[in-house]
Amino acid sequence: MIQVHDLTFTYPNGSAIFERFSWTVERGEAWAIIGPSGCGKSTLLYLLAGLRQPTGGQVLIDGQPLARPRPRTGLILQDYGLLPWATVWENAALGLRVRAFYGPDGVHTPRDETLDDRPARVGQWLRRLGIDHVAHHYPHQISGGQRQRTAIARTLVLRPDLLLMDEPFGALDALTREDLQNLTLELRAEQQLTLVLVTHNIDEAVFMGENILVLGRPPNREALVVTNPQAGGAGYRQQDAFFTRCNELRELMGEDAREMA
Amino acid sequence: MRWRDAALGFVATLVIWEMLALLIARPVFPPPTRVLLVFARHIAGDLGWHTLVSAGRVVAAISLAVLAAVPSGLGLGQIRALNRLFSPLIYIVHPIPKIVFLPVILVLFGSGNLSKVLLIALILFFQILVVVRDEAADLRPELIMSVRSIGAGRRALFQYVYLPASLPAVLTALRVSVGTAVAVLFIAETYATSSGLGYYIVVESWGALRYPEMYAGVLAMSLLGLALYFAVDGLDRRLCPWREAD
Repeated sequence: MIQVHDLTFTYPNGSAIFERFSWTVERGEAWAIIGPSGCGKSTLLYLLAGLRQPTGGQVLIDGQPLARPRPRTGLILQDYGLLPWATVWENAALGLRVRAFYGPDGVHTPRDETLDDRPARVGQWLRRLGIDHVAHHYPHQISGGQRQRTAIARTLVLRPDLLLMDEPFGALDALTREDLQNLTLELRAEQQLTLVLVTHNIDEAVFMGENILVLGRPPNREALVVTNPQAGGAGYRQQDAFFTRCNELRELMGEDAREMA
Repeated sequence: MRWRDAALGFVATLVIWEMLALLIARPVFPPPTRVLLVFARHIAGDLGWHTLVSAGRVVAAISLAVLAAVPSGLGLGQIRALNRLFSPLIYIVHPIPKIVFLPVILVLFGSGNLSKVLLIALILFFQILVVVRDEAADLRPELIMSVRSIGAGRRALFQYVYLPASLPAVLTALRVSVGTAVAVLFIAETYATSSGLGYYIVVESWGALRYPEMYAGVLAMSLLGLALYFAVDGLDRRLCPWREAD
């Protein structure tokens, strides 16, 4: 589904983050991207979202090079990206309003998009995510977990096939974080989503990512991938295999993280 | 401010005024009871007409300033290159007291309504422009990124992000500048005109030593300022309901 081919990305200040970097994600896979701060993991996610353009090489999704955000890709950020002046309902409906604004032009809105059932779609997702009782609240009136559920509702109401998440649970307490990790994996299976999640949390990467891409000190030239087939399994967080995998990842990251600190 | 507070303030002003009038005891300082009587007699006639003319001018100026300053401020806030180009100019022009352009504007645009409206609009324009620009430039990039990721291009960003984000700043700027607008209106209406509260106060009343009428004009001008202030408050409650939600 995603092909990153010979990707080079350099910031305007000249610092190279990726140099001829290649990486592939198949449809339906769940990936975690981990690495120390400044390694380029969020940059890679923004490149996959079409919000940044490569300096060299290509990012292809379903064989198409990305020139701008793709309608079937959903992006969820750590600070939720909710509009502070809009209620939970209005935030969840924002993507559909934007699509209605442009109409089914194939650029901003998929050509086969139907927008007649907007209220029903929004209501259905608010109920599914358990936030329908706060539908008329503003973001500052609800909890961090509810805000993140609103961001998820806003994304899933657009029926994406690829879900990109940038440290989505970083600001939440441990229990809410685990709850939302489980929910995300449940929704991924239910909606047959391809998932790419950026995190700096080793436990989260090991629980969520069937494959883990480890980025190091830039420029990143080769994709270092750890396969983790047990990810997301019930009770995996308490198993020895989970802790072994966490240690393995910690060692892989350790050297670069120390050098960058 | 609530209506009850405004009414209390009004009553307190009248009491202090009445006491001062008793103390000063000169025709130039009539008591409020007399002024209120004159006000009541004239507001349905010539005073009402002059008030309507002034209100029309100031509302037209505010509308013109908002219509010109909001899109310009959003443009400058969004497009850095544009801001770099114009910010030195704004920096230099913003602190100039625009009232000094009154003669220039009178010469260029004549002595009719247009010159008065333009002068007030010019003053408000810079006050609104600067706050809207700063508000648009301070929007968190993550918010813009996340709305762009759901398909929003520049037009949709303008409608769904930049415009609502700048509304509170526009209203704050308006609240601050309503007083300035009325003050400038007063000055502008004392030159080359035969209508408006400035003319009524200075030429028709003060010039003819009709002091109670002069104070009735001052009262009308104060009420005009207060009404504009309440109108901005009402707009704030209607357009920015999230600011009041706890």
